[in-house]
Amino acid sequence: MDLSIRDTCADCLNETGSLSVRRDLFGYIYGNIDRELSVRDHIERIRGRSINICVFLVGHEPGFNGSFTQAQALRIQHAIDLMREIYAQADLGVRRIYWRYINETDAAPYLAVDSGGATDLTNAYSGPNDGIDVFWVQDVTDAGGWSNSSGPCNKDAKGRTGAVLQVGNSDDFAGILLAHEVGHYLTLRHADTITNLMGVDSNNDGIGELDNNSRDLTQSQADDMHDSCWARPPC
Amino acid sequence: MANDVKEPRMPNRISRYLAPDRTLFGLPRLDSAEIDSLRRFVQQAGRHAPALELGRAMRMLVANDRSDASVAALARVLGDADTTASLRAQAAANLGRIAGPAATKGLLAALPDAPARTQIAILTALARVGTQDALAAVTRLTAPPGTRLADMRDFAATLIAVRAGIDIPKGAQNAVLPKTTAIKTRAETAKTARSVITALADAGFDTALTPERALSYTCEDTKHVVLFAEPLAGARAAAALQRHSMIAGIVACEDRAAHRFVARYIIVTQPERAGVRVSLVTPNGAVAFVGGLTPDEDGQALRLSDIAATGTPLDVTGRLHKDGAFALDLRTLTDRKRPKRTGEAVDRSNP
Repeated sequence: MDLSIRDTCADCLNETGSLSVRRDLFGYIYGNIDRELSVRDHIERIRGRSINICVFLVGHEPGFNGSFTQAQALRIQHAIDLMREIYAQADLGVRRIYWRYINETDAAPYLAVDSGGATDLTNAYSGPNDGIDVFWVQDVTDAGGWSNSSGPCNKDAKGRTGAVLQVGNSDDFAGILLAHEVGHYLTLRHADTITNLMGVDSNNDGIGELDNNSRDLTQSQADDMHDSCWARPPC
Repeated sequence: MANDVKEPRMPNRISRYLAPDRTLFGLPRLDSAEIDSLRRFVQQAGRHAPALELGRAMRMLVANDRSDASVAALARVLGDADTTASLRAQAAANLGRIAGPAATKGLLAALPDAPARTQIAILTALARVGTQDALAAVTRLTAPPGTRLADMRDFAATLIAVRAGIDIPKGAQNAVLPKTTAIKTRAETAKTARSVITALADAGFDTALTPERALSYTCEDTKHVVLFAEPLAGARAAAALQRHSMIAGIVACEDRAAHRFVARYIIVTQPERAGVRVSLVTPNGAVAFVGGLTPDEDGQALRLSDIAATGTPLDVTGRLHKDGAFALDLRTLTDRKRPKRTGEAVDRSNP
């Protein structure tokens, strides 16, 4: 496998010219996070079968003059990095991160959403077609986040076409929540053990229960993730 | 040809009007000699003709003369592949101000081989004045589906057909009279309505809802239930609506991921002198439908305009009958789905 940073950026991320490892290879544009980054591991993962994500900061303004703080942006990066670690169990990389924002005026109806508002938000906005849309809002009022079981491959499809998460969790739990909701999008359903990433839905209310140890993935779940239309071929 | 404008043979009055350093506030009435001179200028203008002068000349010519000779002069500019797209579009637009077979013929002559931008201008003109003779050539024009060119082809074909009083060509009608799909509504059972009311619980906007006279429909694969407020349960619904502003009901929809019904729209009404104003607003405060109930001999007619920013447009009409029963007639315009927004890209070097 070609482990060159420059080749990987060009082949897999469409990034050339003057490169920053953190910004261009990892896609972390908001600064350093308190996690150890392995360039070698990362290149191996994103060169293999991977997904892309399109991250929306709902209510953000450049210079952090909107609803988002820099600490929240760093938390989202932390969450993505933890999702990368969790998905590594399934040999599934998180290759490309598209960063988008919805300015505070346009985002006004969506700063705090319930499951219906989450659907409205994903129906109103979508990012590039090769990435799963992940919307970060200040509050989800009736769960930690909402997604779609087996998210449609076509973003013009009916129903919820992305995952919507609240940013107000601890850094690690935000990562577990992100991996969980994107896991739904990649066809995974709630599991039967709390230590599994997909948690349990003990009262069958559609909301899975998770904790800081909900990180495991089974081989069967890994196979399902690889079969999703969102999983992209190696590069 | 630019120098033609300044030649002694061009009447002074026209020269003044064509001069690029003048703002044109009106079009002069020309005598026949001036028209001949102007037509000759348009006829002879080549690829180096000053765009502003030639554009003004074409407009002035059409304002004064609609003879076949002037049509021919404009058609020559339109068909000249060496002329700029802008001037060709202006030539087409000016032909579109001249009704009749000669103008149609001039437009049609350039249609097949022109670039797409010029073809769109030609089709716009044909929609205005094209005669029945143009219909076959217009419908024959190939264009990738969903493009502006395809839309204008169908638009022109439809307008030509309706003007000629003949059948609209198959496939073109949708450009002007978009296809709608009826959504079946039915009376919901009180038992189901009651369970939806229970599910809404604290998301019911503190409104007492009645399980009576609920309606349901399925839109975009999602079941919706229309629940009305308790004061609207009986035959006095119209009187209740006239009394004061109220939350008249809630449209709930099924959220499969959550295994429950959630509030989709809140129905807000306000009495007016003649009828009732009606608004459907999402729980996030986005107004999706506005309209009203208007009294007539059979009760009150409902019409709502879909003003939501996204999704598939829905045409909503209905009726509040004198006995208090509601009826809804819903139609979606499935091929008119409003595009999503993309948000703004974060500046990666200065996020």
